[in-house]
Amino acid sequence: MQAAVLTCGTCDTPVPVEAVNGPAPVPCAQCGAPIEAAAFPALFRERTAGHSGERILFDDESSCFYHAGKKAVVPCDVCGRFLCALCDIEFNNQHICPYCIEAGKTKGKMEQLENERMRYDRLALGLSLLPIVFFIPMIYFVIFTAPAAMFVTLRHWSTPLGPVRPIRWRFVVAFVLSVLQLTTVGLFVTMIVMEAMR
Amino acid sequence: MAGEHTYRRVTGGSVRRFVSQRLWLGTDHILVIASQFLTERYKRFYFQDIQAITVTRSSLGVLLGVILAILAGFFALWAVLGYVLLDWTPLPTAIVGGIGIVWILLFFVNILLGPTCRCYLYTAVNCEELYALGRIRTARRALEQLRPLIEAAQGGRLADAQLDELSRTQGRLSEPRMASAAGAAPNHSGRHPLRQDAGTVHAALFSALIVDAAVSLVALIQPQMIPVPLGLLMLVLVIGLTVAALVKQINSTIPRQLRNVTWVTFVYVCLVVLFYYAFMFVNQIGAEMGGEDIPPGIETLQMRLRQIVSAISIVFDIILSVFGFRMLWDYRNRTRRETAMGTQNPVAAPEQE
Repeated sequence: MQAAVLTCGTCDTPVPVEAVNGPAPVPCAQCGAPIEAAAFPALFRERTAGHSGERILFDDESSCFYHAGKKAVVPCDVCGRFLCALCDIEFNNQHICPYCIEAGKTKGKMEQLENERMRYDRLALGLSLLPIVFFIPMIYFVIFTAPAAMFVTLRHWSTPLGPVRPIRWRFVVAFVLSVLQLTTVGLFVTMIVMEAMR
Repeated sequence: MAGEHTYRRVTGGSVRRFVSQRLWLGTDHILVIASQFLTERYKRFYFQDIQAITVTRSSLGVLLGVILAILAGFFALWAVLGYVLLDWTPLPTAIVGGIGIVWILLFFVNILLGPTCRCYLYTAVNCEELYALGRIRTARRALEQLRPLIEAAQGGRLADAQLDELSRTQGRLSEPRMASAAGAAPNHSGRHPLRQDAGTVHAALFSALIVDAAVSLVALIQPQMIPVPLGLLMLVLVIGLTVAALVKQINSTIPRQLRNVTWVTFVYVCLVVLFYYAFMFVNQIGAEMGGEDIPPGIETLQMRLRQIVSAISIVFDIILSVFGFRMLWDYRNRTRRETAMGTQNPVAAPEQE
């Protein structure tokens, strides 16, 4: 099998042979930029062809849930449906059907399939910091941003944050700041009202 | 949640186009997290799928250093000129000088971080740039951390036979002209193929530098012979040609050394423009003061300063054009030689299995 070609990061020329797993960087033949490359055995691994699934030859053979004419080889570990070789997806040491994979991805149950996430803790912190950073133009918006930050904090407190270090310090800071901002506004309004009544 | 609390931070982290990237080490994969404002995007590269990691040194750090040095020098010069010539009070001097110090500190931080690089991670289906590993030192440290894990997941190191095979594949394609001429190098990273460039714009730039040196020399010896618009016209011409050369050399076959000379020319031109800007600024302030409060000897000092800068620019013009022409000459000779070799021995198409 022919390996993929490793190229220079600057000019896309194939890297010199000496640079691959070599002791020191080697200049690129085209642009002269020193290159070092670490290659691993996966570079030479054959790509396995996908299975299409065997056709049912006898009546007593069980068929795939999704392909009535194909022989079932394994049940889905999540929903239990019989799957042919085409529908069988090996994921996390489990045999899963495409529907369960899709459902797991959509509902966020399979974390390893998740490729994007909204960070509500950052949203809450941003809302609470906005009037502080842009003090003059944003000070009157505190009455909107502070409750919004508190709402986001309470609503999404238990929403998973991220795969790494899911610490909720931003939520805490946002909530405390929002409470302080609303207290300050409340005191200010009270003072004005009392002044007007006097 | 599977994998929660099991990630370890890999050294490095960087921001590009408002997207910050960080690498995390899982039990069996590398997690690349790209954060943009409120969202995070995840990419997982399993150890058993990683084919290679390449680290190519880039000139971004040098460019950044030069830009920071220019900014630091500009603000320092501004503060000194303001304090000495314009009798600034300590407050504005401290403010402008303080900004200069910030740039100086950033300049030293850039030096301490070391040279920059471009790091790519190869799998069978894609080639991902890990810009979180933007410094050579960081990339090496990460590679030291990752290599044993990847090798353990893939059952050892690359076998000698595989290394030989790789040598044959890479060796056959590593000659730059051959690879691009035969179209043999697959554009694995999705970048555009290199464009053949004869370096005509670069030749025009270095010629313009020689003419500029001649004009500056005449202006230095006999100022009345050279009208002011001619000097400005030369400056504009050099700026235009420098920008054109920088644009032309993008993704072209122009060699690295010649590219660097063009970048140095760009920095030099920026410095000249900054000097003229500062000079005009001081002159304007002097004119606004009506020339009454200007201490005696300042005009002579300004004239001397201008003469010194002119002399330095003549020397730089000549050095840059000589170096540039020399490299252009080498590059064109090499291209001619390789073209002749290519027509004599057409490159065979790479073997396909």
